[in-house]
Amino acid sequence: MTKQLIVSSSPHAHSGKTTASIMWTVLAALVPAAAYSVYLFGLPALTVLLATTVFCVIFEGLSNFMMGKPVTLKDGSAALTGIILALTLPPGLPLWICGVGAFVSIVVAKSVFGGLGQNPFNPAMTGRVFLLIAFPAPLTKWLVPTGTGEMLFNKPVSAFDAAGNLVSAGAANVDAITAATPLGLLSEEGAKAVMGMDTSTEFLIGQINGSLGETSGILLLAGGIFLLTRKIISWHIPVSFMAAVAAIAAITHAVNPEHYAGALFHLLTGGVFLGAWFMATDYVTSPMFTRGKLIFGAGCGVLTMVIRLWAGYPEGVSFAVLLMNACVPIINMYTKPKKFGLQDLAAKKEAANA
Amino acid sequence: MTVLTFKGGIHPKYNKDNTASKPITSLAAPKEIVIPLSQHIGAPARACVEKGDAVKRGQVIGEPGGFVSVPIHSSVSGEVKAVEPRLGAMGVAVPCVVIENDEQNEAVEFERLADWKKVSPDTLKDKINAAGIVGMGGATFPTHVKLSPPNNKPIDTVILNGAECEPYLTADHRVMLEHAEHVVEGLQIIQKILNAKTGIIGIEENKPDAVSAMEKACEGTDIKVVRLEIKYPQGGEKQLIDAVLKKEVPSGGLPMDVGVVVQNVGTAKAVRDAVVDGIPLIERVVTVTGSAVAKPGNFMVSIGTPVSVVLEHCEVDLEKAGKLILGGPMMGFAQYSAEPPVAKGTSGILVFEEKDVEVTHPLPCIRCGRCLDACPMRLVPADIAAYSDKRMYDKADANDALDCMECGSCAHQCPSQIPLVQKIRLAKSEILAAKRKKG
Amino acid sequence: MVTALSVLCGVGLVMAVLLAVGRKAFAVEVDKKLELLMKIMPGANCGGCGFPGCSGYARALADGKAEPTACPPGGPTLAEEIGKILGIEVEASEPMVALVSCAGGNDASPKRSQYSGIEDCKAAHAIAGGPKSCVYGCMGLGSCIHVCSFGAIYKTANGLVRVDPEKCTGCKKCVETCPRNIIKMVPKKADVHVLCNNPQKAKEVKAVCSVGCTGCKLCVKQSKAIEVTDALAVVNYRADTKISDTAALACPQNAIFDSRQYSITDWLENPATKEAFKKRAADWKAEEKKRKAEAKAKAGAKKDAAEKKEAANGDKEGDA
Repeated sequence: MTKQLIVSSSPHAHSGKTTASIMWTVLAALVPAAAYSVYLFGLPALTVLLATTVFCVIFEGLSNFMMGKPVTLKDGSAALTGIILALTLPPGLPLWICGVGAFVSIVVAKSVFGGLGQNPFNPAMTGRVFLLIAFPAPLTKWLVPTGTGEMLFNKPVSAFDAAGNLVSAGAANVDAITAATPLGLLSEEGAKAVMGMDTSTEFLIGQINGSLGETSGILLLAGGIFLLTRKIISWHIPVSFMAAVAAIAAITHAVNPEHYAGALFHLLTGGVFLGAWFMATDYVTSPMFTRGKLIFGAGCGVLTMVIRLWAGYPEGVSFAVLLMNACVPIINMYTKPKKFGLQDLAAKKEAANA
Repeated sequence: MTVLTFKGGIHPKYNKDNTASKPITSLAAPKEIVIPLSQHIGAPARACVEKGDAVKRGQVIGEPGGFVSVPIHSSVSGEVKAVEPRLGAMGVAVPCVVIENDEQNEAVEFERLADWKKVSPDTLKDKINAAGIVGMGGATFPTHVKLSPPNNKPIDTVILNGAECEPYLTADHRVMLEHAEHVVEGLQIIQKILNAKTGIIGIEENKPDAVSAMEKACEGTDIKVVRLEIKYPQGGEKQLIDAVLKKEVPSGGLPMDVGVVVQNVGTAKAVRDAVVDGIPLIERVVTVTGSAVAKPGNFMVSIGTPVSVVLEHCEVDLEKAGKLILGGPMMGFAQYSAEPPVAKGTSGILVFEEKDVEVTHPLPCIRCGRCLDACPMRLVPADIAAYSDKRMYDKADANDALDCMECGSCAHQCPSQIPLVQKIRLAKSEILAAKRKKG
Repeated sequence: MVTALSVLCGVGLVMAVLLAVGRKAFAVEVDKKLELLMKIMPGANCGGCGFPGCSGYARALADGKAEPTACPPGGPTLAEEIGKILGIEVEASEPMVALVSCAGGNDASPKRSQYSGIEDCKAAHAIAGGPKSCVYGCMGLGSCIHVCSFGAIYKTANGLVRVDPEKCTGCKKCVETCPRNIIKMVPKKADVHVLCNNPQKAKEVKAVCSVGCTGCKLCVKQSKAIEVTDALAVVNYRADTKISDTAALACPQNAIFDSRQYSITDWLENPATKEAFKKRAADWKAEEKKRKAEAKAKAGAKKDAAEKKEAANGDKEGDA
């Protein structure tokens, strides 16, 4: 036989949607928000983005090589982890800390478990939480958007020189200007401190400080809806996540408006949009069934609010997602749908018994 | 008119335009015909001719090997050259009767039946059995067995499956267009045999011409024509019943458990031809298409015609081909050569160019859940496949591997291109082997 | 201080007494034999004995429901020890190992299609009869490797698998797994094997493999311990006759392997060895031919003489 045909099991047709194409689509959905953060914070944001992504790709390649596995860079999962990790970090973070974060994300949280598809916890979230606990100071140093004056949200900003000493904002040797994030203010000073903030425009468009991906709600939302229309994600997790956040915020606000901020404030600040649309929806670490997705999303939202309102940290999305990741196997176990042809059988048995 | 459907399933590219408008044309039988003795599910037929025997068109050359078996007929007249193993559709040699066609086309006398309405159901069933009719959608289950439900399972509805949800295939479509009356008459015969009051013909709504042709043919009868959503596997027996009657066939059960029998439209026509004209199943409509086929079309092919002969007629350059499939792209069988003959269950021959097919390199499962969204049986293909990988077949069984009908929806959707169906099929065969061992 | 010490010591003492009493009162009765048997089990849990793991086998032995020779990894040594424990006579059994009876690597029996799917022989065999030209030959996808608990099976460079007889314990798991029944159990001490599994006739075999057995029976002439059934030569390992080393040389297809002459690794994977053997075989065959021709010539001469005599007689008869 001169010609060798390909033989394979049925089906011989494929949808054409591959793991790589999915990863790259998610990446594309994040580009607007990432680009906006660069516009907002300038070079410090760009370096964090680039450094984290490059480090992630390098670590992925290295661990593939060391474990003797096929190189899996083409599937885009490492680059995606890098971008998501970067979006949870504050701009101006030292590069070596970015590297540590990338190492924890890719090597500790993913490759050690067996690589793509095997990790129980969201790699980017693991990296971010590790950094937050290991380096609390640099991780909570929030640069203000470029062009902000000496005040942000009616509070004076703090300026530092290259050595890290506090200087006046107008001084010549200013290296970085920071300010507390809205959630930080809320946590420290209560709802009164954030009452005057313009939630509808500043927050939605993103004239605020925070992590790279905590700024523009509208661009993240656009990215999420893009993923919805491309059928990359389903609506269940993001909607239940945001609904739980909004519900708890609305209830607590209604009970005590002096102390608790409103639903819109909680939705638009911090990482709720990024978390709900891009991190909680990570296939590997979220439930497979529709009912499970709803439970998972709501759980994330509830935990986020519990941490924000009553725990030590001002922001809780990453902790919430990780905690819910741990529950995924049990959620999957209890939400598995009944197979076809079982309902009738049960009904028949009952009829036979009766 | 409402469009009926089921839950789950996928929307593959249908690619039917190349052949949907091509009328069925007859293909002359070649010089050498190779008729496999097992073209159906069940016991193979026993050859009842020997080398050197002269046979006529329609003559029985293989007797049924049991109740779940059917006779095999010669599709040409000529001389038996050999009774020997030849390459079959599964890639291994199977017993075949090889006949040299004398091209006289001399046929045995077919026993016509003018008015089947006056004949008893058993006689009709015998005629169907004698004609060697099997399910022509591809499952090839002997039709007379399907028409013999046990007494405690009365049948009230017969559904004719005109969904033809397999991409590329248009054989059933053309049969419905060109032989609408015969299909309806076939359905009436089946209804009479089963004493079923209701007759329904389900057709996917991408075939509006077939819907109107069938509606016209059904005028003056009680038979209903329903439109189905364009979705794969709409023509799966259990999915069709779910869509049309909103009844779920119990797990591990058969359609007769809910009082239904499903037949393919092609089978209905064959039933009519067998009962009214007395012609056994010796030819069938085959769709030949795919990117490597220069002249695609729908052909009436004599059973036993080697695939290579059909491909030659359609001007297929096998040197450029990358994949050859017997059946549809979702459930058909890949071939390594064009030597196997067209059999009773061969609904299509697909040939794709080398550039359109590839050897896949699966990635790890990312638990995206596309497979379970697609699964019409509401299983979790990814889990069953993972257990199959680890050879934990008892766990695969506990995850209902045996409910899988291998429709291929999961593997079609899998972004990591994991051969889920192959893995599940392996698990199924191991589970069944273990069960047989236990007894 | 003293109170604390005495209380602690007292508690300790009471607990110790309780434990000691408990141990006697609630002792789990273990069959002495079973305990001893458990100790000598190989612990591979391979299932080769047909019982659920080593403990299952030990229990069955203690209950007298199993043969002491049933453990393949343990072999005769273990059987003897079991015999000692159970107090019964154990007959020594022949140690058996698995053998992959196919030598048709990718070079000899090329692929007929490009297989795309899972690395499992059963699954591959079910798709268009597998990618290998010979449907009786080893596809080398390694289902047997997965089931081998002893790491005795490995892939060769030319697309086959091979059993390492030193590591093989004869548990037969691979034999059960192979969908083509290529792996056979053979006595460990046997030297000569027919490395082919194809029962088809010469024409069909030659079409798919250059080292397949055609059933020509030339080897049978060299040794009575080789039999041909269904056009496939099979070594009768039970026959006592030593197989002559000319059996391998006589095979026109080079399908017979003789471990006295080559190591199997060399034989299967080293093309130079193969070439050297081919040359030797050709030389031997040429010599054999010469020898035969000579013998024939001699016989012919005799026959000629006899015929002449006969002819002469005939003439005479004609005359008469």
